[in-house]
Amino acid sequence: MSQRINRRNFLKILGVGGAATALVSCSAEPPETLIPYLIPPEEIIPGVATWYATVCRECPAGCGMLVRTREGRAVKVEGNPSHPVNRGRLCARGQASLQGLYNPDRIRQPLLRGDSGQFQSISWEEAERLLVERLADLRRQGKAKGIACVTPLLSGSLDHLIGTWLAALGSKRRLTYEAFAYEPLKAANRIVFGLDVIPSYDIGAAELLLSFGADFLETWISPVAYTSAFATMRAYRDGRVGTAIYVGPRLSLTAANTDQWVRIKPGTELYLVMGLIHVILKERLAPSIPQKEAKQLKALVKAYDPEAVAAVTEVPAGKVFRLARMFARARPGLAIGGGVAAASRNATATLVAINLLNYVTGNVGRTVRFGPNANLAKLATYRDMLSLVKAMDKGEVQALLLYGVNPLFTLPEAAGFRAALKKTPFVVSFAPFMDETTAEANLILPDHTPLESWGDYSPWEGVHGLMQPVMQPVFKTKAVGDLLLSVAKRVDDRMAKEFPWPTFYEYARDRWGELHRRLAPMKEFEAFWEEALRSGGIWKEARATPVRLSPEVFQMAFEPPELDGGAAEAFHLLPFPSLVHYDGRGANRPWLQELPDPVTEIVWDSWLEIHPEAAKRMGIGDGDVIAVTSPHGALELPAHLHDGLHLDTVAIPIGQGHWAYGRYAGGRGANPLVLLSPDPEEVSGGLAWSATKVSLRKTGRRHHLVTVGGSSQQFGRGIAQTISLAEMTELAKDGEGAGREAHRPKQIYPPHDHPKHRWGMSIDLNACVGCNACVAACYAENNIPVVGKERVAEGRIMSWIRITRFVEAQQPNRPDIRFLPMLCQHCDAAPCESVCPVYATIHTPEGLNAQVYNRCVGVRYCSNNCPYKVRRFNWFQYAWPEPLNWQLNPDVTVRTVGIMEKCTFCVQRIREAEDRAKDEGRVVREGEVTPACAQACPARAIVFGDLKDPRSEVSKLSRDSRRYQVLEELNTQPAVTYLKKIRQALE
Amino acid sequence: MIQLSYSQVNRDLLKTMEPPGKVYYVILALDLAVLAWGFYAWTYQLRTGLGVTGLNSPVGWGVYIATFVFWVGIAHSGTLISAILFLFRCRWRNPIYRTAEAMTVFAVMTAALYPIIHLGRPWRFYWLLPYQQRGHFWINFRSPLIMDVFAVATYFIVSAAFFFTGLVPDLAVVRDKAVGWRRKFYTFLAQGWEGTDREWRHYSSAYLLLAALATPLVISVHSIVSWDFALTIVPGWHSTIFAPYFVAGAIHSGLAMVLTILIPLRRIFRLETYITPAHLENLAKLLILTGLIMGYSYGTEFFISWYGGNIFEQATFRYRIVGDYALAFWIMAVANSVVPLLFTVKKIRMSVPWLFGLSLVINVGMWCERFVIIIASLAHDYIPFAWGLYKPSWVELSVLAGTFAWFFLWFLLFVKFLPVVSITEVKELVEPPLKGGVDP
Amino acid sequence: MTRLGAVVASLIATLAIVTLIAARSWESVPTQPLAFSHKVHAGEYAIPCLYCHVHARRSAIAGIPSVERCMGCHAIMKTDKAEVKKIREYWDRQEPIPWIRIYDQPDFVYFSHKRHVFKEIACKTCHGAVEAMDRVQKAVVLDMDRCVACHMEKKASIDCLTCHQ
Repeated sequence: MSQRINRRNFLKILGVGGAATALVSCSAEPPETLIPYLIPPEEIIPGVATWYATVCRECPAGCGMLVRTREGRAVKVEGNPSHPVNRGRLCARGQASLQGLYNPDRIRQPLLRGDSGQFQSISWEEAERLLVERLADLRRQGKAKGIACVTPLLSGSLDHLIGTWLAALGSKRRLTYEAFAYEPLKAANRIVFGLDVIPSYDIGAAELLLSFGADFLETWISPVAYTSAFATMRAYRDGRVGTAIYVGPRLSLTAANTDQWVRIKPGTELYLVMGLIHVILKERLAPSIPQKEAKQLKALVKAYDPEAVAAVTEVPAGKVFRLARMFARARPGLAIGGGVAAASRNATATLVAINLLNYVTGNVGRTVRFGPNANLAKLATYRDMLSLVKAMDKGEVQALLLYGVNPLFTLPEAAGFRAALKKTPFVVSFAPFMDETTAEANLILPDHTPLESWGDYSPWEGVHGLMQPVMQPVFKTKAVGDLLLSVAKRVDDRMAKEFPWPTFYEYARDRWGELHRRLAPMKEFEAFWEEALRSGGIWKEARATPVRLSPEVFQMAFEPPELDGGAAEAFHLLPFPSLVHYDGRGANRPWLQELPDPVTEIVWDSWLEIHPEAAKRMGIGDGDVIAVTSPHGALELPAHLHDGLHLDTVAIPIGQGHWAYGRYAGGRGANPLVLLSPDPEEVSGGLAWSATKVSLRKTGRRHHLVTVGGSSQQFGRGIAQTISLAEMTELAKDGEGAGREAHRPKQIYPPHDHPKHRWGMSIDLNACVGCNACVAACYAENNIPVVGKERVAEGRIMSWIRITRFVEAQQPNRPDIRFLPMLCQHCDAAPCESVCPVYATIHTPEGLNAQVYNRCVGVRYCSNNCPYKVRRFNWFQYAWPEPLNWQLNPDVTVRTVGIMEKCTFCVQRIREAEDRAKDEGRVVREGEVTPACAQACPARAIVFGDLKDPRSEVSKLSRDSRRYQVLEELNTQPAVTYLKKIRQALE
Repeated sequence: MIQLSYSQVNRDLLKTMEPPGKVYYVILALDLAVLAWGFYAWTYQLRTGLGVTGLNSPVGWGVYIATFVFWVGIAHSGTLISAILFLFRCRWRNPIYRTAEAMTVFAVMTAALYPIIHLGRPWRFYWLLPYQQRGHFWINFRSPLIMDVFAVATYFIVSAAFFFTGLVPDLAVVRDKAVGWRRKFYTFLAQGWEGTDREWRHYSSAYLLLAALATPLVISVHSIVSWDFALTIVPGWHSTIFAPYFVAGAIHSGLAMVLTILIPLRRIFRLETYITPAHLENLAKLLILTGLIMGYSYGTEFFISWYGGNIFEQATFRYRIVGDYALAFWIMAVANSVVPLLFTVKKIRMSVPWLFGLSLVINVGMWCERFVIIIASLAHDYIPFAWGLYKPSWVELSVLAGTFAWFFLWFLLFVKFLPVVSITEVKELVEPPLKGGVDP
Repeated sequence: MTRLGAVVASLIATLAIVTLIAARSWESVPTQPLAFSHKVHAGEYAIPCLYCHVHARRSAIAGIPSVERCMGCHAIMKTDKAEVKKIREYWDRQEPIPWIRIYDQPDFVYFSHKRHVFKEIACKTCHGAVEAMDRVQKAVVLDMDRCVACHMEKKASIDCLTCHQ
């Protein structure tokens, strides 16, 4: 295994590459030393990137990743194009996995809680000994079943190892726990189709998508996959674009990207769905479903005629009719649900109804397919967690092993986990970071981050992702797999015999041996393994199984949701998963903290969303600190007025409010879970997220919520433009290139000529959903400093690309929120260039607007004269706390204080491609250069290429009938072309 | 015609140079203290970066550049009075031009500080100079900032030369009176002036030439400074009216500043006989003229933005009136175009306190004008999402105070080391002594 | 007056001395951890540069020979020599040799050895006649003047982004 030996040398050789990133400064530095290799590793050439395929473990979606390493350090992660889940795309959270790897708040060696209650660091040897002794004791005393282990959703080797390992110890207490576990979804499928699974939803194929509170563009099941599917569905083809309608009490980012947002009374989605079925059956819009079933169903939905529905849901009866007919007409349609928004006490009933709706309209088997199913269905329910808590309370749990979970933060405070934890004599955490739960542990054995570990993960049937370490561990941590194996060897001989593998690596290989026998027996194993390593895993089609209605559904009782809290609690609380922090795990990544929330534009904070009218009623203003009280707890948060809300609903993002999750997450906002009712939803045993009512009280204090961006109005400046479907079809008649060319008025100066290339970009506003993935990717690729809340407030955010958000005069149910990624337009007639006194910003022969950092003296004239305001000035000398600086991209200069910087179209990637082309004596090929933003975009909205080549996709798009350029009238002749968003009018 | 003898003139005018009293030293000490504080603030800015200012994106220029324009403006009236009025043979200028000219030189010296202070990397300021730089670099002549470098430098050289030339005969007078090291000092400065006819002949032709040379600069310099703005595409900046508008503004502010300085000066040094109310009145009359031009320019700006139908321009000017910087705007509008009209009332024009007070008001107004033009335009330009606000920080204000102290430091030295009123040219106003006549 | 003169003079003097010292230290030849002689290897034995600096033709970074490569020859050759023994010691300690860097560029400069090797620019153009040096020292001032001059002469790109990105 020469490869592994070489890896071991990485840290020794960092000197070579380490030099490549320091500051722009001409000061004479002390003589540097050159540290050569001891033994040169074959696959590493200093100065040339090496890529490793692995799996993203930032959420259960399990997207494939390619990790770019330089001189043994991971510097950038990108989506793995061959991975079936994300097809090469990656979200902001995935991009930020690097800041997990290099997080300065990682636990650097084993910690033991001393008698003083303080943690003290101990050696691995000692740490392991302590664990082994404890487990061996319990085993001897026959208390082994008192050993409990909680892990996140795992699959494959580690899952199997932990299972067998626990069993060998003699315990069955094993839970795979995620905060968002989709229990109702699972239960509903059991009830309706007799299958306890989470099926796959073909959003791309749907003509009409009806989402009942499922935020599929943000956190729901597999956001990256669904975002790209959504883009496909929305794409214009022969006169049609897919229609999307969002039903829910809050205008989420997902809702903002639909054609219509149906504002509904929280918890009453069920009635609307039943109403739709009622109309569809009554008007015989359903395709041939068996007579008997039809009759039974009719009976089931009898009570739900539109008027009755309207009365409960506050959705006018007329709209119920229209929705029903629209949905029935759609071939195929798709109704989805099961997000936090609709997770009331009748969540399962609602999802049962949604299943029925899909069934009667014949979508089941077309857009709803049972197979491949999601492994999420393997998760323990919230109720199981409660029973664990009970057991801990009763003292039945002697040892609790926590791996990659943070229940103290992600369980409702009222669930009593804190107290139960106190009653547990021995708590071990394998967390790589300090977090709330780990802070309560007795013994901490820090794990590698996923980027440092071997492993495998399978989010869907037939998708087997393989994880490999992309670099040497940053700290003295130990992979949990290796740990369990070596513990097994030391507990006693019998267990040692059961686990002969020296390391988890061999264990995983053996497990893959089985996979190999099952999937590719004819291939010999090494080849199979190498192949899997190279492509990041292996995938095979999973067939969909046909389903029939199970009789159970007709026993289903559909009751109105009783909410927690009486008359005093006037407001319905809606906690929603934050786009970037998910269930809170993202909060310790500076990039994610600095990303503005796309709907509110708020950074580094959490807040209480309240409808302006309700706020007026209570005399609450933006930034007033509000005391929120529920029967179960209380918290204080600054108010943010948001008219995308049901009147008597307040919403709080989940993910902030950490108290022991490192320097970046600390002291920011509050965690809404302290307010939630601990009782699970009856049928599914899931957590009833939005079943709590709260009361508000002004504290009189104020808190400054920092947002990026000045005004969100356009004042008729046509910056983010739209085009109606009708106009679109008109133009489409004239075929491709119908869009008027940018008109070229007379110039005083001759136009630049571009002998080889003119790099350009096109951004499709119809595809862009404003998810911020491009922004995160840009931070990662271009060494962009994170400046923190205060600096953002001063207007000094450094992001080279940012999602400008415009809100058009907004009718209540028709959100017209437009997202427009704004970056340097690389103008052909750039206003910034002519005013620079020292030629620090100039036009290159390849059409780039170059910013030469080392020439810049910092007059800021270019920024003043830039109509797009995309230039960023280094107001301070920004620093990266060790080891975050390890992530710095050696191919991009780290800027120093007092100079201007901006988007470069990722020139380092262009140069790399040109270098490669030169070696092979050819010109750069179409698609060979992809800037970080375009590479990441889950919606494939950004296309980059050579405008000189008329056949390149970007030049085609620059002639598209939807083309326009921002502030075209200024004749800056940008290299960036935008494609108008397509508007369709629904009654 | 002033009824005085030459020796009387000498005595009176050299009195200003007598060893100063306590008050002078107190003022000097205060001035130096402020200067030191400003310097400290600047070094702090150097160490920490421009982040210590209130600047941000979108507002990349703040009070530094505003005050730069302000001082360059101040500089103008000096040359106007000393050169243009000289060419127009306005004898009444003789007693006051020396002070005005001194003010010009010191104002330019002050203005020149800001472009360096506002740099992100001031230690690289020399990259803005035209010389063959390492790495085959050159400067970008298309950039108005480079034009500035030339304009301001030229203006400084010419006005300094003009100032000195005018001084030479007086320095000779001083030399003849001085003793000790002062004598050495003034002997050097006086350049061996003997006062022969030949010298006078050369002197007056040189003086005339320099005056002719300085005159066009009055127009060119501030036109070029105005191009810093006019040559961009920022709404509120991009306008053809800027050059004349700025020149007029410059002279306007300059005249006001001359009044602000002359009035205390003549009071302190008892120069009422030389600097008479008539002089002040003439300045006031000029102010009426320039004030009217300012009012007209403001009007034109708004008319054009409305008539031009450019939504960005319109938004910018609407923003100026009612936006975040409306206060500054209204101060500017009133102080610069309405207040000067008060001088049409002879009572006010003749009353020294009124003149002094109003001249201060106009100075403030002119500073506000620069502030409004720069900040209010940058804060709200094309992309509403990128809009922002700017508020000067304590560092910026300290540095400003420091630079004002710098200006007055030079002036304090000037009044003690050089004759503040031109002896030579005052004598031109005095009846030449009759042959064989005796000094009273 | 005279005192003032003296002060000024001494100031100027000290300034001159300081600058001289600065210049010297910049010129000075660092002592390497072991006295490797390019003269012997590149000169007498005429070993091509790329034999040891292997990455120069594959990467932007020329690379410093690994200890393994040194041992490749010196496991058998000249093993009695004191300096060679030092290599052996490093090898036994499994420790890389901390060479002192001679040629360095600011971190905003992106120079690719590969490109220049491909264009058959002789190593000595920028590194001087190393084969004649016992102890390598800076023989060429690698400032932008030189880069640009050569690029212009050779008709290579002088687009800023060629070297700064």
